[in-house]
Amino acid sequence: MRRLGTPLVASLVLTGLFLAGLGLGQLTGTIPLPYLGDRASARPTEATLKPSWPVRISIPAIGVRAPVRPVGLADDGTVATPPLSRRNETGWYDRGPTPGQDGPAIIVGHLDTKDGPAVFHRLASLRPGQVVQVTRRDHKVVVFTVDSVETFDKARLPVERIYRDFSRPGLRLITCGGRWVGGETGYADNVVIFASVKL
Amino acid sequence: MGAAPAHAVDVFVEVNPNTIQAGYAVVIRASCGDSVNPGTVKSDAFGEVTLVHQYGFLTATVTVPTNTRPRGYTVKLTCPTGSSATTTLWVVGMPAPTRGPHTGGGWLAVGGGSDRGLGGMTLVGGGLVVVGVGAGLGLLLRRRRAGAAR
Repeated sequence: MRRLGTPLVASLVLTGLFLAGLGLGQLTGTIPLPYLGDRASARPTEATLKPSWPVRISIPAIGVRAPVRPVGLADDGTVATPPLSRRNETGWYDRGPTPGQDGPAIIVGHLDTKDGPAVFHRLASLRPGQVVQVTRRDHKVVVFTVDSVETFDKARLPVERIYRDFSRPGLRLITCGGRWVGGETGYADNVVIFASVKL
Repeated sequence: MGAAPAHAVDVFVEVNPNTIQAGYAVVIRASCGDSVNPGTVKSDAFGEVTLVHQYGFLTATVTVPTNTRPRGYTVKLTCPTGSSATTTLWVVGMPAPTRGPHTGGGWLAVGGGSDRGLGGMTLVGGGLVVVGVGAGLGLLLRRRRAGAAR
């Protein structure tokens, strides 16, 4: 015990400091924890596919693994979202292309619910070059690469850029951001991830 | 020369992009092999169009009318020789709301945001506990050594 004493004390203190530092990094958002799961059968497929509904989305960089279900338009004309009670669910806008077809597939997810964080709460920390994998009903996995991460006033989305680029298979991930104004608006902004299939 | 079967491979038609919003244009690219006369392309999505020679292929740009019903449409190429090829064009009718989706419940805004995940809190807490245990053990050992030296 005595011979082991000093190294043991030193390693305990160092390990503790390391863990605490990692935790602080997490809290301040400067050191994201490495993502360890879900590297199963993520094989890229050919560039342009036939339609097939998306069923799962995975974003290793921010630890997202979530089911995808179709959504349409809400009563107020906005793209509908999954019910707040299903915090880990995302919604694919079923009036547009499916992921892997030419055109922008749109997937929305909540930033938070009324009492906790939701599936896309770390979406804004994504960086260009990071990947988003979407699994479709036909079991194909489409690998998108993030092109940009942008924030827009919720009342004025850039329609052409988000919905009208059919020149390649694209993906738009949309969640909330900015100031909380409450009422009908909720958060003042939308965070939009622009991603595409790299050939 | 009997090369006819080989030439059949050269007959194709493709539409780019393969999916389009109703009201927008697509480019058709096709080949009728070494046929000198151009072929025609027909589809319920845009009607009939005669292709023109361009960059070694037969091409045309067509606009899908705004009121086209969203679904897949067969696009059929017919060559002067009688051979043909088909592909599919998917038309979507996707409303593009200027107003963004309601993707927040507000928890992060009302103070929930100060907790950036249990992981971080646990790590800081756990880390400090480990430091404490280490330091305590260190003190204990020093005291024992001091006792033994006396």
